[in-house]
Amino acid sequence: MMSEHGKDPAGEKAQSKASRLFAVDSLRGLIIVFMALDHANLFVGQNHAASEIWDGAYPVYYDALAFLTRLVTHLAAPGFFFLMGAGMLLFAQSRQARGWSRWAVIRHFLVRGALLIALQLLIVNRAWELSPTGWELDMYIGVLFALGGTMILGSLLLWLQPIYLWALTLILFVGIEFLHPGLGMWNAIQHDPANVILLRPGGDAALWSNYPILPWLELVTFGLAFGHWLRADAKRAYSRAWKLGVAFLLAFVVVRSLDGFGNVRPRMSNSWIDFLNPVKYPPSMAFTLMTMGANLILLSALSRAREGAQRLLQPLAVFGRAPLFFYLLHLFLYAGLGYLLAPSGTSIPAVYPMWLLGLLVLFPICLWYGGFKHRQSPGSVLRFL
Amino acid sequence: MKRRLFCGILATILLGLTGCAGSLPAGDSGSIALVPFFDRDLGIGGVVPVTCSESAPGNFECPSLAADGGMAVIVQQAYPGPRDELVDLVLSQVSLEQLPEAGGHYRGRAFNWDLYSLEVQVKDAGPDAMHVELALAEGDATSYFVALVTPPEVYEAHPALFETVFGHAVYGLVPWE
Repeated sequence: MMSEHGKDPAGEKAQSKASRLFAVDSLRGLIIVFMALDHANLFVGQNHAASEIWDGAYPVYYDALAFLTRLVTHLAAPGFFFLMGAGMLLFAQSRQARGWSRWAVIRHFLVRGALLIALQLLIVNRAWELSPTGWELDMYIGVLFALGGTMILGSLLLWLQPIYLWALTLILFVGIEFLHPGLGMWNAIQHDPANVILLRPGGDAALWSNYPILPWLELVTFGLAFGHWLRADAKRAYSRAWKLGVAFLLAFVVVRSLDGFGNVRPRMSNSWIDFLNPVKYPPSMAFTLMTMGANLILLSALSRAREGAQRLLQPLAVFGRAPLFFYLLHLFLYAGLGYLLAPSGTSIPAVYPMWLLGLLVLFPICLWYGGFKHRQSPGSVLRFL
Repeated sequence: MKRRLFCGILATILLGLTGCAGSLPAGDSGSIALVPFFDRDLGIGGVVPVTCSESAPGNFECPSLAADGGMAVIVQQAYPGPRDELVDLVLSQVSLEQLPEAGGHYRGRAFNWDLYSLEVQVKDAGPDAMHVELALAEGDATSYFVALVTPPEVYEAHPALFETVFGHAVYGLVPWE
């Protein structure tokens, strides 16, 4: 319906919402693209560094390109959890405005979380089994499992006041450090299933986890709290994201320089590479500050993109609007590309064109799926992907 | 129309590049995985490459780091005495009368280290000369050393050995009770 001034309020609202979410979608797309680089390096290049587990083997790099190729992909996991939290809050508010009950919202996230866990165990782990460098794990707890688990837990926190969400985020942020004791305890930690699924990364060939649920929940609660900011005043939220991002990066430099509490594991040397190589599994305070600092600054920068820049960045938003669909496809695609084009692996510079080729194949498929998904009813399972 | 043309050109270039890339030899991960080790008897903790095996307390043989089948050995030891005594002990193992001038100094997590680079005959290691990177440090009543021993050709063939293995071992060596 047109207003008396000739404007369509519903259209304006939709446009404002689209504009508000462009930064979120394009950041999600950007980090998905970074993640794809990491997986191209694994499946096609066969160059992926060894496990980055907190109490075991840890990679040290002697090649700057190898390190930078890995470093940039570190933005992905924390970004996913954070954006999922923000998205959950906005989704819950939007559905409640359409008349959904709280229970209906929670039920939606319970189903969606369970689906993510099932996809990890049934589909994604099959993709990892195609890893050309070998895969010997019976059951792997990866990022989708943790996203599902934190979604389920996060759905119960949706109606907490923002102040409690911030407090919970802080408690989890600091608490993770206490869950991962110092050098002297490394051999004393029991990797029983509950521990591995919920608390500490590690395990054995029967059950291995890089993404136990609780250490990543802090990023979801952070996202939920940020979602409140976005909903109240998106422009102000993005401005705060910039300041918070800079503060996070400064705090990272302090925590990393002190090389004590907040690092889970001591730095491996004084080199710049080791300075920028904090423990990811679990996300140490240093890792979270570094990656979320960068993510928040990128989010703020993307929110300032004008029309011309938005057109250029549109492919990222296309990937960002079909993230799970992209995730499921890209693993098998890069496994296939590796098998066909570089069965013995290849150098890191040669991985880059293969990575871009994969993105070029995925773009039209994600574009189609994004449109298809948008046309489904709000409760459709197809919208989950 | 322009967009399709652009995508077509991009796809062609990428296909060409990937065709070339696929024919390139396998790459190098650019990293080495280190694992922590703790030895209460020696009173030290540190890191060693995950592929190494401990042949004697504090002595690690690292076959997969070496090119053409050569063996790299990394030694991390504590000596319950002053540094001069430790130096005499080391010299007796490498058929040298005295150490050359230190080639550098390095601040590790627990100690300040003096660094030496030697070409020597190592006792019980055959007639060939060996390349030894040596780091010495002194703590309270205990002295410490880290040595990376390789045939020279292996050392030259693997530039990662010094920075990645030796450097990190020296940085990470700490007293352990």
